[in-house]
Amino acid sequence: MSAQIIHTIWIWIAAFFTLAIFSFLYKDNPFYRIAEHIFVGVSAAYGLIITYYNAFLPYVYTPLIKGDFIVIIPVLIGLLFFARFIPKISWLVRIPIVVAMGWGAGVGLPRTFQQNIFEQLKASILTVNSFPNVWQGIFNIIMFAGIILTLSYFFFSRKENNKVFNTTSKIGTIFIMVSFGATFGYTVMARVSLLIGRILFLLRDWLGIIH
Amino acid sequence: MKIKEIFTSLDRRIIYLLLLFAVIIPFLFNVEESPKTLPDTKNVFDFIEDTLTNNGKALLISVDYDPQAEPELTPMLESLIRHALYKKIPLMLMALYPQGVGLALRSVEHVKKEYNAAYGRDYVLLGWAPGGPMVVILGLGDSIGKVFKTDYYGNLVDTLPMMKNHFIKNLKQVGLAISLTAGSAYGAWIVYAHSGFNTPIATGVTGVVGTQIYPYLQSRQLVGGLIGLRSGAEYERILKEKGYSKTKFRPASRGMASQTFAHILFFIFIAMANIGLIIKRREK
Repeated sequence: MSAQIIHTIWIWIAAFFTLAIFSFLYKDNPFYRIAEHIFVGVSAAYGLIITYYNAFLPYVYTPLIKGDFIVIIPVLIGLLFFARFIPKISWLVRIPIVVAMGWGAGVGLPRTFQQNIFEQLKASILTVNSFPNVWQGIFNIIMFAGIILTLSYFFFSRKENNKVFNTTSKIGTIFIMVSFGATFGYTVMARVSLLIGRILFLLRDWLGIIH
Repeated sequence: MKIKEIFTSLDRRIIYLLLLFAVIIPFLFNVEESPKTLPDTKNVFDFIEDTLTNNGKALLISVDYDPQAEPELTPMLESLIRHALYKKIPLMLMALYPQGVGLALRSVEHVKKEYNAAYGRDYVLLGWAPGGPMVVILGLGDSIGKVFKTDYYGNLVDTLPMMKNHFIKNLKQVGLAISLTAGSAYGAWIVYAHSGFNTPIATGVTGVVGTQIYPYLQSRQLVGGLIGLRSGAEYERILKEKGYSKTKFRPASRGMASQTFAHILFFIFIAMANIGLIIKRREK
């Protein structure tokens, strides 16, 4: 069978599953459920095969064949994850978790603090450089006020009759709502984009209506 | 049926049908929309256009998304590849997650014909390496050839002409790393590549993630950011205006026309629902 025919068959299969998934918008039906189950199964199998060819073969099997036996140590530590299924030795699962957590925290925490907290704090502080022109200065003041007012909303240990905090937290909610609104707008755009992607596939790749 | 009932309890299947028409019609009539370029998109373009062209360093694109995010991120990926190949900037493609490799391969195979680009000379597909973002990115800072001993096709990475001619050994020779992601992979690039090796970072994200990157844009930890289909259309527009791209089919620009029609429909639905609600309240 030529490559073109195989390609066409796959296009038709993809089109069938696209329409089967969309059929749920009318109501639940067997075509939707078939597509849903096959999608879950194929995704799991795809992940397994990708891991086998891209991780197991080059990083475990090939080194062992070449006599690089040092890989046995991380492999054994990794295999201890399966101890979970044997009640008598299930406690051994703590070893790979401890290794991963300890190493990850040690390497990751300082850099994460640096980039996600210190750099962000630095960028929030108002300095002379925050006012290169009038508009940028106003924008930076609004941003700084937004941070303080939003933070005051999350200061839950305050007294309920504290008028200052009550006022600042109310203004803080406006900033939070603006943020939610922007996020919602972007999410709508993202969801419509997914529909556009599928429609584009159906019209161009399957039906060949647009070029 | 009264107007207020139509406005407040419109059958969802009618809504879906109208949305389908709103998306399909612009495609059928070849409507294209090229939105005005926003500063964050222009910053990415300018950095590649000016800084990378001048310092001769490589562009590294990390395809950190899966097929679910393809409609939004693939137009960005193809535009970035076009830009790099046109300007003869050494281009490396890789993925922090296995699914990204196939998407990177398909995009570069699709685009390279326009520029007569040769594999190994103009661009390299590094593939995917296991270990997760932290291990891979920190490893790249030390040696690209150690993390990716062989490329996607099984060639030794250090022996490829592009890597040898441009002396690309690690992230120090990377002028810009761009993570295209539907999640938080750009964060790993900021934390490990920017913090550890001073590598300039940019990102392209889906609309859902859009607002999360603004703090990093404001702090200049990201040199620029592309968000959703709109940024893809903006980038396509710049490439078209500069004459860098000869493709006639620009998926993001075509998609943005449908996007606009769909948004107009949403405005109408929201207005209808609110009018219906006001009428109901007044009657009570």
